[in-house]
Amino acid sequence: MNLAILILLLTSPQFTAGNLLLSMSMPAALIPVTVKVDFGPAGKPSVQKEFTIKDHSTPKEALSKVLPIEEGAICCHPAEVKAIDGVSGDPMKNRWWRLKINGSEKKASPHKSHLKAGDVVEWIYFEDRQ
Amino acid sequence: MKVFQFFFLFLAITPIQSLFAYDLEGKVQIQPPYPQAIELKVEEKHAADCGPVKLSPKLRVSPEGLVANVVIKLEGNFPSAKFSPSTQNYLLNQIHCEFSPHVLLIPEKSTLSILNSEAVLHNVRAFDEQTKMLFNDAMPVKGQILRKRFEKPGRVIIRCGIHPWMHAITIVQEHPYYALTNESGYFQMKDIPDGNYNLSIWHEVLGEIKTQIGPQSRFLTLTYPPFSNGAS
Repeated sequence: MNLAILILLLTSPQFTAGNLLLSMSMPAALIPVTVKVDFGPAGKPSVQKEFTIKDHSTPKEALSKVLPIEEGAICCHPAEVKAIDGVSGDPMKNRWWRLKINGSEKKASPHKSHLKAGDVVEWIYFEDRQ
Repeated sequence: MKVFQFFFLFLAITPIQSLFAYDLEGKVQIQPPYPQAIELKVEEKHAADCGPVKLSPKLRVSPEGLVANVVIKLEGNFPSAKFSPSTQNYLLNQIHCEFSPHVLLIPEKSTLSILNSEAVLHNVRAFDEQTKMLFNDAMPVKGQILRKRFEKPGRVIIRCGIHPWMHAITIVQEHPYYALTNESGYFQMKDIPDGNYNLSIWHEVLGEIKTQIGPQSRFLTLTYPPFSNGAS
């Protein structure tokens, strides 16, 4: 009899809804990441910060926890990072922001990549001398 | 009497603007030592299409110290000034992995044709002075033409997204009183309305200097201080 009541409780709509509410109110998992910003030819001091952020955050979201950013199409997409702390990509001087995740540019997207615990996100301002 | 008749006939057929206008010629020079255009080593992946070395188009100085691609602009409002009616096709060519011409003047609200004259993929990206991207188009086909209309005056930088040395500057004019120095460093500006004006002289590497002109000005020699950056 007790077992039947327990099964009934576990399968009841109230119970599952309660579970759902419980999971919704739980904070998302936080992961540690490192963000480095190298201002290169802009001449500002570099910035490095380790902190926790929601799992699956994008590099752009992580960056915005460290410094003010401006979104905009400077290469290809309006969701890119156009400027960091007032330093904007400069087509006339051929200066651009480059993103690396764990030392690699491959598949590193400001708004599409998702970070995992321990990732190092680097934003490097560089001048293409060509 | 005949002389007067001729004079009045002349007045009748000559636009007032031309009657009280003057022409200006000049040259732009730089103080020595004269910088040399930098040779750019092309990345190996592009060398087969574009050659192993490119000459930077940014700063071209003649052996006499005269500077090409300097934009001369009369400052002021000229609401009644008209661009000379022209069927000119404003063309920016991509040839030998370079934009040609490097600097181009076009009137506002006119259309620029961008041509790819070679079987090399180029990616044309244009930015305004606020670094806003105006367009971004791949041009994979030899003979392909893009037509882009420029509504607002200002400087537009055009770059190839594939070949980083490739860039051009298009100056969209709000009035006709602009000039560009040629390869020898000389310029000419015609039919300037009578009066004194500030003149802006701009070069992408050397920057901007200013001077004043008036109807007495006929030939100007404009001089940049020595260039010390070394990044031409």
